[in-house]
Amino acid sequence: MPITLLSLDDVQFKVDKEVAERSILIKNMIEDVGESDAPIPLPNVSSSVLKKVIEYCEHHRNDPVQTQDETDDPRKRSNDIEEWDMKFMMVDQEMLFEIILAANYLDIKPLLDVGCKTVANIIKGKTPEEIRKVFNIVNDFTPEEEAQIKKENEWAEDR
Amino acid sequence: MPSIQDIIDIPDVQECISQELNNHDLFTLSLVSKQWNSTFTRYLWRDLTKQRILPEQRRHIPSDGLARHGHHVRRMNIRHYEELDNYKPYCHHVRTLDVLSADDTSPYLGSFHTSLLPFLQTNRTTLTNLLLSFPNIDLLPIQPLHMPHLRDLWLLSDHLTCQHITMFLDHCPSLRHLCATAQEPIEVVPEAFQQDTYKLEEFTNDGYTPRHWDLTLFLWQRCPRMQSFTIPETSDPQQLEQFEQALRMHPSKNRALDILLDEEEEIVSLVEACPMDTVSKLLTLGDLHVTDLLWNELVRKQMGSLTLLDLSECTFSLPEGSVQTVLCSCRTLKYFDVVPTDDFDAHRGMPTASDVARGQWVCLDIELLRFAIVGMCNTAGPECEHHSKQREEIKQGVLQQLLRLTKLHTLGICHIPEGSEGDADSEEDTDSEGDVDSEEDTDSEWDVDSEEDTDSERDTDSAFSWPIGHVDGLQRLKLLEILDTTDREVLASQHK
Repeated sequence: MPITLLSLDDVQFKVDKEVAERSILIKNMIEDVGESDAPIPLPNVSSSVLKKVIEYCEHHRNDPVQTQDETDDPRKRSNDIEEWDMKFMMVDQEMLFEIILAANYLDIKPLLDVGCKTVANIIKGKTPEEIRKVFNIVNDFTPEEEAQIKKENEWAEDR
Repeated sequence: MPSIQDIIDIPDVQECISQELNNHDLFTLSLVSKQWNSTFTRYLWRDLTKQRILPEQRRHIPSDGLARHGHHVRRMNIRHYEELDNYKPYCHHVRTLDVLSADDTSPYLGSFHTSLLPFLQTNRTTLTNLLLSFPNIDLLPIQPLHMPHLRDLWLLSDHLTCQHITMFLDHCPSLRHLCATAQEPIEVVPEAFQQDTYKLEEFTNDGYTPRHWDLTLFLWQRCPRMQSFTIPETSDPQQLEQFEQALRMHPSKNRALDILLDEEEEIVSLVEACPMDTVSKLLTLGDLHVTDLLWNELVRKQMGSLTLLDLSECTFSLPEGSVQTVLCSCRTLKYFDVVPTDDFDAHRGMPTASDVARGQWVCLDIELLRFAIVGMCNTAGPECEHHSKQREEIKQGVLQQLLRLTKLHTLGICHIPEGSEGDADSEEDTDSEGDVDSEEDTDSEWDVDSEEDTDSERDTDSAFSWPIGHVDGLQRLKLLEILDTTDREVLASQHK
């Protein structure tokens, strides 16, 4: 049975139930309310983002559901991003952040993970100044504060 | 428009990003801005083992840094007990501590008491994982150490005794995994097989001292929660007898046995002592010749509960029809690896294509299957329409059988040409398929002699060609990819 999702800007999306239920939020809503023809409102997600999220869920509709153990245990986590996911995440920064926020709101852990890994990949190997530039962040440290942080944490530098 | 800060403020996002970054990157993040500093500093300090360098190469951590951030430390490793003196005043929430092996023993003993024990005492309520390496634990007094949440304990020492392990067992009620290894011949490696990401096996084959067997016996009796036991090799019948008695007194569900004994009578005796219907897992049988006796005693008796059967390391000769018997009898099986070796007799237990097509496999939850099918090649020459039709039906039957295994993620099929036995038994083997039609069946399947079979094994052009029409989607592609190959070790393919 198809489920109708209603985005922030009142666009309706019809999706298979198993696709919609990749979102734990929607799954719980369906369980709580029971199956109905009424659209499920998602007031925090715009249509452009919801379209992307549905694309992801469609592609991963048959993936096994992660158990809590797998999610929590870093040994069972994969550091790699699948090729399809990597291409899926080739979006501008605004859309990347929107997808992460939507994944968090809709409780789609695998999508949240992929989004975070993408952000982490942007960060890896960069200097503080480069990171500020990429994410448009202002350096609000005084030179003394910066020196103090370096002194406290310099042990973490791999030699 | 959301900003990076909107993202970073989400705790799950912080956690996930931090897990992806090494300490160098986390250090960098702490220098980006005040807000990022307050967010990421705790992740930087949380795991001191993230560095690629060894603990002794780590730069000195300044005490003012420890004073400000030591409460964030959750995981650390050290090489010498004295290192803990720096951490002890500030680190009170450590969950994982690895005390790596040290080579020097004498200065160690004092620091065990003055550094390690106080540190453990300070963190005893938070510790969940502990790896302790002792130079010579026999010289140390036993001190009770109550660690209520300790789940994983690894004890590495030249010498371990029941008394020392008792100290931990008595005071660590949450203990789930215990790995006790010694540099002397290993006594026992109990482990949680179900969580085999950390499967530890350190065996020696030089024989086992009575003390080690005492420990095995002790742990079996003392630790009903232990899920998996390795039964080491021994030449002392008295030890085996004691262990058998312990098994009879303390049978336990959900325990797995990994048996490393050479003598099949000993194995059968042990397994009989621990009724097979209470043992849900039988691990590798090691380098054993699996005779009918072993097969009947070990495997057939626990068909109802067997979840894992790994015979991949065996130089084995399985009884006739045994692989098909397992597949048709064992509903709980999830892992079955029975790839034959080059042993000329290895084909004996493997099914023919018509066996597979005609049988009714019940192991529908199986996730990994590696075996061989006898006679999976095309005939070398032209064949009559009747034979061709029969062969096509068999192909369809085999394919249908495989398609029913919807949970399969790894499938390996070796090809053994029919008649490759090359010995006097081959005719008898064919007859032993057992029904009146056996001769006709053999003819109708692959009517070739052994020489032609050998050719066809080498010739990939003569691969068994599989029907495409009635199979759909990804599964079809995978199976075709798998089955169009005639290499001896064929495939390992992942279902999506």
